[in-house]
Amino acid sequence: MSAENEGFQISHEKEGNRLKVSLKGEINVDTSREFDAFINDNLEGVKELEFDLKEVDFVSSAGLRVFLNAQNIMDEQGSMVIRNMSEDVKEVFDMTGFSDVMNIE
Amino acid sequence: MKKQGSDIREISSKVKETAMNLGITKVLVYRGRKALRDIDNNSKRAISLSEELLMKLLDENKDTEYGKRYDFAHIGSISEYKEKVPLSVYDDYEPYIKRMVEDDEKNLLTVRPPKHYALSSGSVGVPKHIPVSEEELDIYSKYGTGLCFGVIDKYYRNTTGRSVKPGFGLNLIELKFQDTKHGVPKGAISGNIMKQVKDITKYILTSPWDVINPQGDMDLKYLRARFALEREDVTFLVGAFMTALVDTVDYIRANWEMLCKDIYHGRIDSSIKIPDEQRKVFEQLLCPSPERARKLVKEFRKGFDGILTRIWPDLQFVAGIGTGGFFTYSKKMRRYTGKNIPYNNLTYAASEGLFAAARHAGDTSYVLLPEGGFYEFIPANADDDSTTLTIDQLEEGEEYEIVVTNLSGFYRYRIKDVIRVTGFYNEAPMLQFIYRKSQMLSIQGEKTNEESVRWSIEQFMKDTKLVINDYSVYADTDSEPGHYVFLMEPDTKVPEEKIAGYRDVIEAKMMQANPSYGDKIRTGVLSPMELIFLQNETYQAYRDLMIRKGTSPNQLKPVRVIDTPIKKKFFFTLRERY
Repeated sequence: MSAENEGFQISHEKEGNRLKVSLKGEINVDTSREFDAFINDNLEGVKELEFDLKEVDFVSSAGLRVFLNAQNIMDEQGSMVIRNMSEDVKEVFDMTGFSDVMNIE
Repeated sequence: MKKQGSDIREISSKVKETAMNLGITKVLVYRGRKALRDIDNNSKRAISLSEELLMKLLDENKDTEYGKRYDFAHIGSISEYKEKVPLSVYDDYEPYIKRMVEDDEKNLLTVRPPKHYALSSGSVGVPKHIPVSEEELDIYSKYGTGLCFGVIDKYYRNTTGRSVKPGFGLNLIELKFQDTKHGVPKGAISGNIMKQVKDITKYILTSPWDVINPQGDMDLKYLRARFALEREDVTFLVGAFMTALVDTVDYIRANWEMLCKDIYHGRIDSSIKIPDEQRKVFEQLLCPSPERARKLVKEFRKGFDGILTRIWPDLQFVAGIGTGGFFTYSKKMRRYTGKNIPYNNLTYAASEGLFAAARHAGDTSYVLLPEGGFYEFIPANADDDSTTLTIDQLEEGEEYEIVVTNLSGFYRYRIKDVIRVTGFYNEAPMLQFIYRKSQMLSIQGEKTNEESVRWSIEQFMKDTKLVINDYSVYADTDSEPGHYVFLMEPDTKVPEEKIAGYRDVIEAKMMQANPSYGDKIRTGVLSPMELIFLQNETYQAYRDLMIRKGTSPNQLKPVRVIDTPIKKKFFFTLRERY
């Protein structure tokens, strides 16, 4: 794992059918694999999905695809919201148009 | 006894599937051979057939509103046709089409009623509705789907002495359409053709009908991969463009562990987006296949070079447009299939018609089909773009804008594509798509087209040994003098210290590809090019987003020119970080 990936962490809290996922570090082409696997393994039965990106300082193209995958899943089974983006990360979502298809607060 | 009964039913169903598959394969090959014979015969008299077709269309349509307006009744030759009927663009037909779509009016452009409307992106966001007649649909059916099996059958008979083996195909062509208020289907033409054979797709394609024709949002990438991977008897892969085929294998590469687990247990992972009712339907079609799953895992663990022939040992061909600007995807697909699998580049077609088809496996030139329309050609470099040539006046190596009179009511229609004549197949010209006129870059009159950019990238890849997944160009006129910005997505991150050297390479290639561009760089009329490397998966992210926003995957072409502020913001934001 490169230095850029060392600090990447996923933590989550589940209460009933509500899942809060807190991410830390960079969501780049390498760490997005772990993130994607987490999404694929943990959304069963979830009706409310919340991402907290307070400690995320970078989201790459591959990372955007994982958020879109999560949004596609949640469209069928509930709702999804992304919170606490830094200005830099929010800019990536806005400039690419991904914020048009996701609920960002 | 119950178990025995169920076993008998299963065996009987399997026997039926095998027999039907064999029968359908034979029919497809038969139709393909017939299409090949027709290409050969028609190409021998392409010039006279062309004129006969024009005269027939004019006679048939002389009493339509358009026919009366331009006096079709008194046109007796090609030269009179050129004199009396003007060149046209979509906007010339739009008022007629609006009356056809909304009020079901007849005999406006043609006596042939529209059996379909192909939707194409319009300039102001309102989709263009291109009428398609039954005769046009027949051409699509014959050459768009049928011919492919004839081409591949010929390839195998020439190389192995045997015909195409029966088997199943992974189909990525999406069937997505709705009806106008008068009940005429609108959407992708390929969907209409597929719908006509709905009842037999289960005997020849790996995906169930509800994946081919999805109702509601569902994860089609997973489903297509899932149903294809569980079978070992896949013999062909087909998509509209090579991008879709590569995206599917990339998806398998990223998700093979989940897919194999699901195949092992005979289930669909709960994270996969599928409406509940539909999930139940799909799950009834599945059963645990531990042996197949183990085989797949073993092969995936060896890596993805040549993977497709290892997981599908009977794979016989790949069909999808992979020419011109799709070449980076064809190269990548080659890594997945290995070098011995023939590719069929299908056809050169647009919503307005199917104009030419690949006559042999691997051909990157297409043979013009004289029964597909009457064609005229405007020399690409002519100052006067009102003078057109006919097929007997074309010269090998020259480039022309193609003008078509089609089977569905468009007359002397400029589709704005420029093609190069690469030779002749009997009397019929063979052509390659070179560029869209609307996609040309020209800051100071240098006229850089898609083909020049494609050639430069291909040479760049050879010289630098970099693998480029995809690329685009932007003409930056904000600074003085203006300059080009090349955007490339490499397979792996490029070290920062190498960028300047790579910039010099692509600049030199571009100057060679377009001497006018070279002159303008040397004389300072244009500033030196800028090179930006993009993050991995940027183009996939763009395609995912476009699909999410409603674009049909069948219509997702590579982004060669960054020509809108939205594209500019997207791609410039996702540049690699250093």
